[in-house]
Amino acid sequence: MNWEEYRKEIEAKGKVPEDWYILGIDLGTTNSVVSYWDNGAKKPEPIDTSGGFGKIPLPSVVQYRPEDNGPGEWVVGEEAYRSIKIYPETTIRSIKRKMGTNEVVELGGEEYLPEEISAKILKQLVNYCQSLNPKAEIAGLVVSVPYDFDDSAKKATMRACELAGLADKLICLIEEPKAAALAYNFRRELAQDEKILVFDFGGGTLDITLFHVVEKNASKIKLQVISEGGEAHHGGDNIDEMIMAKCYGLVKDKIGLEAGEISPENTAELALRSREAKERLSGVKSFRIPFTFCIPPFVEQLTREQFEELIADFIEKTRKLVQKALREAYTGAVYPDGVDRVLLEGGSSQMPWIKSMFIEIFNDESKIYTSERPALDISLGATYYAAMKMGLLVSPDVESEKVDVEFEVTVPHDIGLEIQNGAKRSFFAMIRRGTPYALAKKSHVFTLSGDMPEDMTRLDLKILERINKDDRLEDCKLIGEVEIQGLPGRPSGKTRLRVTLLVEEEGGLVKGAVEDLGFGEEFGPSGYNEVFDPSRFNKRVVGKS
Amino acid sequence: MDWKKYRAHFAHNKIDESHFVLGVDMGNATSAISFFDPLRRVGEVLDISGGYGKAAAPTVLQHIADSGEWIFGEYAVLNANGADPLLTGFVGRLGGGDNAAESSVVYLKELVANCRSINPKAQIAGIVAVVPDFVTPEIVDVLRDVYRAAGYGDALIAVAEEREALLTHYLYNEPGASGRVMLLDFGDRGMRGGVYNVDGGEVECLSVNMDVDLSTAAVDEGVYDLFAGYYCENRGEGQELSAAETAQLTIFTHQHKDMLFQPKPTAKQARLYFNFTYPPFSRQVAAEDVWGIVGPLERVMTDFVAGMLGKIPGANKSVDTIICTGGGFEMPWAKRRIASLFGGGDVRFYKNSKGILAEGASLMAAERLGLLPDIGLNIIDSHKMPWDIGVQVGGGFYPIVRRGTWLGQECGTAYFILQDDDDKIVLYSRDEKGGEKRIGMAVLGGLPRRPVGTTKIAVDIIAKTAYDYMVNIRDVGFGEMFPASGYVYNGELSVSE
Repeated sequence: MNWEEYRKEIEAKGKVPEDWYILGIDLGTTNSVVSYWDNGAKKPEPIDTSGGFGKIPLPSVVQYRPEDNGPGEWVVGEEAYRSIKIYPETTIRSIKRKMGTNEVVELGGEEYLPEEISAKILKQLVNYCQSLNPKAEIAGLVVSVPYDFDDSAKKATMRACELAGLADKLICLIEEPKAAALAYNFRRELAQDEKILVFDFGGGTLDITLFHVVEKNASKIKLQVISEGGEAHHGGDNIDEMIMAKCYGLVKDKIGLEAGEISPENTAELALRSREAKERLSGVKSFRIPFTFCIPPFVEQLTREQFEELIADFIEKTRKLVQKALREAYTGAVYPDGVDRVLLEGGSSQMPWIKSMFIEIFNDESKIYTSERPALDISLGATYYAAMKMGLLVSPDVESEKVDVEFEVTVPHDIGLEIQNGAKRSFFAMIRRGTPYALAKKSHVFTLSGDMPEDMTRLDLKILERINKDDRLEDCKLIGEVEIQGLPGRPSGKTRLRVTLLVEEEGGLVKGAVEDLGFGEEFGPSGYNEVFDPSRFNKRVVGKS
Repeated sequence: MDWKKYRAHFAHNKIDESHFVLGVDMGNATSAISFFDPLRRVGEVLDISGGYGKAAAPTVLQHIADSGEWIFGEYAVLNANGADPLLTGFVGRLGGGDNAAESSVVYLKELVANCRSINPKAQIAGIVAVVPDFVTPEIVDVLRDVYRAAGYGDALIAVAEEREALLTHYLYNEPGASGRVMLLDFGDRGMRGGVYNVDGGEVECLSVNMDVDLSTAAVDEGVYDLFAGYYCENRGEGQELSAAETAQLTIFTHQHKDMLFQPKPTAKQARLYFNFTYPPFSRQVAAEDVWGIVGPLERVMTDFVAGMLGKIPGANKSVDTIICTGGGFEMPWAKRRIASLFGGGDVRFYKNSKGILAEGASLMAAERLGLLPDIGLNIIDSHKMPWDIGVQVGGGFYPIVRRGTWLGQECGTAYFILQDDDDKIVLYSRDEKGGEKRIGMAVLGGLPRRPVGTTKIAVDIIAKTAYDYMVNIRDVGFGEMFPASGYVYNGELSVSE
């Protein structure tokens, strides 16, 4: 059954069978989390995927262990993370950063796309659900993606679900800050008209989203995104890399070994120690990093002060990203006084400098809130959303009936086409950044012209995403190419085509359509009307040749 | 502000998100804190594990002498370095000196400060603190002092017994429930349990049991020995461990012990990665090694439950509901054992078994503040000592069995130096108001004669009932000059009601 059929069954039965699981998955850069909807308690519950290592999340680490006589073994999660030093060359971390690209990783003589690696993480998360209940049947799931993910990265995430055998169970994707705000709302009642800045700082990505609670009553919550900022590749991993660079320097100073000369096993050791140093310095003021592999071995102390000095540029960039998000609000610049609360989410937000930075920006400590479960909230929020889509969500006020959650989310990047005007090619924006998803359907009429007859019967469309407003055409990310075939053969300049692009409300995927409008009375509309779903992997062909 | 003022405030005003109504379970090994969620009217455990969703944090402190910094919980455990010692077990030593109260104050402050991190405007409206069922009124007074010193004296509504918190949790989830309920707590200081006849809020204790050897501490020790054995075997240089190696193995055990027992998506045995040593090595944990740790405990657990059921008065030894709490029940083998003992019965385990006491306590706090209806919990228990039993030393009363402890509970050995050449010990009882009464004596016939002030004896008393006591007295000698003679006195003492 697909998720819609499960939903109908649930409606018909009036309850959720014990073995049916509705999941919310945070497929993170460093850690991934799966939660299920506890229909008895009417709230999401995270599943401990650490295998007893003391943390709930599953490290997003995939490892291939070759075998002399056999296909080899795949290990995912905490065990893979802990054995990086033993299998340094066949352990993959932070694959999320490559989602949407065609960068393959080679393991055991095979090449794998990022979504194929992500699929293994998804499968492992579902396995944990099934270890909770061997009869578990996945009825539906929502998977989170960063707000800043481009279209191809979102599509790669959907493909990962498909490869994990979850295609028909996937209800939709949800933007991570949206999920975090949703989870928080059900624990801490947000007030009507409140403006809340969600600072979601994960291992790979920083999402800064300013929500406005435009409607709040017992049966409905409406949150409007009024600003979105951050950066796709700005997270805890970057900090690990900075500590690691310092470690390389220390090794060179102490024993004269260059970074390139350090063995893969010992490079992995340094990576582990760098992450450990970052994490531990959130709770202690100094940490001693051991360099046991060096001869002679040595220990170097890193204080919190030195650590913050080391990452000073990163801190400064983070501050600028927050200020930019406030300045570039779609409703006009928002001043710190206009924000009611700042919510720190994501595992990386535990670092003390984050709170200090916000106190400095807002000059008011009483506005800075830390989530009770910063590393889990996105998964919990995705589960709330899944429960809502399955018709199960109720208001936290136990006396009220089912509750509806509505988000007015805006498109994070400009979406458009590559056009050619004479010899000049340029980006033509059709849907502007900041357009609410509900309004993100824009059409433009183009007139077809060309020297050859076939120029009039076919058309190539290149759909692009402009991440930063100053990006040039070459910097734009390709969403997909579409070849429109079978257009009516008319003279040059006598075919008017309406090209429509839209961004789906759930998950923000880009779709499109092309319609022949004819040309005045002379050439009436031919009835040509085709829809398309662009893909970065292959050129879509629509219409009959 | 005093919690009673908050109660008056809530009588006319809605509780808002800045008001924190707390249940605090500051345990000897781990601690948890829960707040009352007014939206759902349930207790919600606060994540104090550093953001990773775990309900409890180790009750461990570390003071860095050089910087004056205090390190708490998980961070302290991971920071064990041999130079700055970890402070552990201080809650269990409350009332016994050794800076236990001072450490508890520091830890409590940090525990409650978590609320201010999630809501900078947090006001603590009321707290119910949980203590084990057997603690004495004197320890409760010490704990109250700890709350006062931490700045939460006005917020402390009550110090509740664990069973009160658990039964409150049970009765709020199943209002008006009736039947026989067994409460089992498997924690660091042993397994404790009781069988109760529940009829709404009216509860009668039918039977209790306690076994200090059946503890998660015993599991931890077994796991440490196992891991240290693997480490030494790989190192191949004898079994002597340096202080640094011991510290590393302690951290390693803390980080990995749970993985031996957790459910995993594959059936294969756990593999350990000793990354702290160079070169690193890995080792598969043999199933029989794990069985070697838990096998004996499973048998003890079976006897424990049978013993408790056997003590239920009358012919009907059955129970309707079994509620299992404490960190020990996070281990599947313990769950399986209890479930199999009550095959098909209503056995309840909690996902957050370390946090459930704090949850129950937060519900009690909400009840006292008028935010939840009063369930009228009233526990009648004839299994607790109604008075102290002790001796007079230097004109004062020295308690050996404390009021409030369970009947049959081992209360610890008392040591005395006999001050004259008399060969008897006179026992007294002391009631709640301090009234002392001579209840009998033990005549130590055959105790070796020594000069005055050089006869040291060890005294253990176990109360079988409030009126019947087993007395064990041993000569422990006096330094090298007078070694222990092997003299033992075993007697029974009964007093009339």
